[in-house]
Amino acid sequence: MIVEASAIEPGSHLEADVCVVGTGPAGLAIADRLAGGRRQVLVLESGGLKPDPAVQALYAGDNIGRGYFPLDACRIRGFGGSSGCWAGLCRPLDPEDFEARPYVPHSGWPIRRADLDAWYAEAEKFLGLRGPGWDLARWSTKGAAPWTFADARIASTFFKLSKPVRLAETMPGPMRAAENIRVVLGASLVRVGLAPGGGQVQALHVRRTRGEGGFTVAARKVVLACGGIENARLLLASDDVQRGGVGNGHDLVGRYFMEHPHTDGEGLLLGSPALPSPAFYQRHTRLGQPIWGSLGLTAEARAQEGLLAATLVLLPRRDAPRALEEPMRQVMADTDAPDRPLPEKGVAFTFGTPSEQVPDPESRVLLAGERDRLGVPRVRLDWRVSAVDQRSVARTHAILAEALARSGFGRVRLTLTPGQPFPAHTGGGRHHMGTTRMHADPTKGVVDADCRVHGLPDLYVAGSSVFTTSGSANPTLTIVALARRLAAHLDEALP
Amino acid sequence: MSLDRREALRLIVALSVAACSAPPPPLALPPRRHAAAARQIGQAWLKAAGVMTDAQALADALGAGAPAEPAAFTAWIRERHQADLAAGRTTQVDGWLLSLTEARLYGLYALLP
Ligand SMILES: Cc1cc2nc3c(=O)[nH]c(=O)nc-3n(C[C@H](O)[C@H](O)[C@H](O)COP(=O)(O)OP(=O)(O)OC[C@H]3O[C@@H](n4cnc5c(N)ncnc54)[C@H](O)[C@@H]3O)c2cc1C
Repeated sequence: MIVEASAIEPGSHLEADVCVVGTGPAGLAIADRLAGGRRQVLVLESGGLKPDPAVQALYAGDNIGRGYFPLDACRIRGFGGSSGCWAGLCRPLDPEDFEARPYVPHSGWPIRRADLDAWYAEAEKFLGLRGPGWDLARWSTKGAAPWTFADARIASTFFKLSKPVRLAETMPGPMRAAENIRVVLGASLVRVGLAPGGGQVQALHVRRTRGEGGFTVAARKVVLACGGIENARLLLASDDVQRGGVGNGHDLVGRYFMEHPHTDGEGLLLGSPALPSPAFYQRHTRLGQPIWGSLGLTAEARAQEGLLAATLVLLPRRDAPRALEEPMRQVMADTDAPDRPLPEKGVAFTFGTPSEQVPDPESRVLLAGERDRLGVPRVRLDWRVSAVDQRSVARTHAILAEALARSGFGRVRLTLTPGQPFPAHTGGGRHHMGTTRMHADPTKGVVDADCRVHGLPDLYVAGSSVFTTSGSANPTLTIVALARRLAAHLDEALP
Repeated sequence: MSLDRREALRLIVALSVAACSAPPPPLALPPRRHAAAARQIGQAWLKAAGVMTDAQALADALGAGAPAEPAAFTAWIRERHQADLAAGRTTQVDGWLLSLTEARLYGLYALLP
């Protein structure tokens, strides 16, 4: 069932087994998994089925750190969340992304990749992806094969591209049909109310997004699924019982904000006549599933040099040829393919490189003094990137350049220098991670391995705010996998 | 890189004199398919890297023991080029990452008539 908040009597008190706040990929993946089951599920959504600028304005906030997108323009507040505008690139995190790596401070999830494998399979279905898992060999064809490098440090991988699924189009039907689900649109959570003493959630305080009035909700299990910035904002703003906010006994909520810095358009690969077909690294369809090949370093190569994860995709070059480009093309042809004629035109690509950041407690979501129309303090984002983040991408480009030249595939013009800051235009990918990070130790993380807020038996967080580290894969497939796992946990945990 | 046998031999003489005490014969380089391009890259490298502008020193650095047969010589250069890349012995010209071997070879093209 889907209802409007205006249909709920102001001042009323609703009850449910599970209350999910937010209907982005995280919240809807949970609701969808519980649909048709024995739990009464209440889903609260601040927006409606259609975009609404007045609702979107509730997301406005300040950037006080590295230049970033306006905070009301890098996520969608409404049914379906940012699935309304996402690009659909999907890839699971790599096994080593979950491990504690000595060269990455604050790394190490309390779960392993294997704990998510089954949930990734469910997540793929939820996001409309197809085909057999992620075994590279199954996705390779004669016409579109990953390159074989004469350098064991390089590995190929690929994204599966969701259509992209727009949950505001696909999910209202199933949500209306499910008898145990009640979605309330136009219902904004403004405060998580703790019982005196702070040992459990007493009530969620909800306001009508449009108009006046509101209601409260009591649920046996509450899941915050409001996105990687908003989850932290709501916890921080709920500070009437616990000083500093709910789940913030160790001053961790909002900290460790991570993005995937996108150094797009950096580096230039000039292909030699011996460069194999780049078809695998261009968007194409295999087994009915659109995919996009990418390059990266093996886990061993990263560990050896202490490098963070980075994914390299080939992008068409946009700038005009450089002065030395044509002579470079000629000399490398003489070295790499002396017996082949030099093609009339060169092949050139630049790199897109979404990359991992070292989790940094000073990179954070904070509250501003000003409040939004519903009385919730506005958000402030202090995004930081570190010298290690920058060095890691520059070195990854250099290793790839060495490998390409060694394999006779071409030469790379490097534009990033270790020790130099990222170019000013290096932004994020609109991936908001880490602000309620997962850790087994309550002094090091906000949620535990079950995504439950430490110290509270009934409050959970879904979404990329729970990521301990970010890897370099786009987050939504992992968000949905974690959400499905959480839904199963909730079902089991309730008597 | 296609060298004919006589030209390759001349380069090899240059490359192998390093160990001899007798004064070296004049250095010469074979024409190659894109010799002008090699010269251009070599000039840019010598200027940017501020490295050896002495052809003999460059030839020495390239290494001794080059085979006489042109195809084998090309393979010899490529082997060194690849070994450089495996060991991280690289340099840059206007950002282009090159093995030291290829940069030195182009440097020689730039220095020799
Ligand atoms: C332009 C763009 C392109 C992207 N491309 C990709 C991509 O290719 N691949 C990828 O993996 N990811 C991509 N992303 C990121 C992806 O969209 C997010 O990872 C994903 O949507 C996060 O899901 P979520 O459910 O955690 O949060 P969101 O999608 O942000 O959903 C949060 C939900 O909570 C609701 N909400 C917020 N506050 C309240 C409140 N107080 N009360 C009630 N409800 C509330 C919102 O209305 C919304 O429904 C992209 C994002 C953008 C903006």
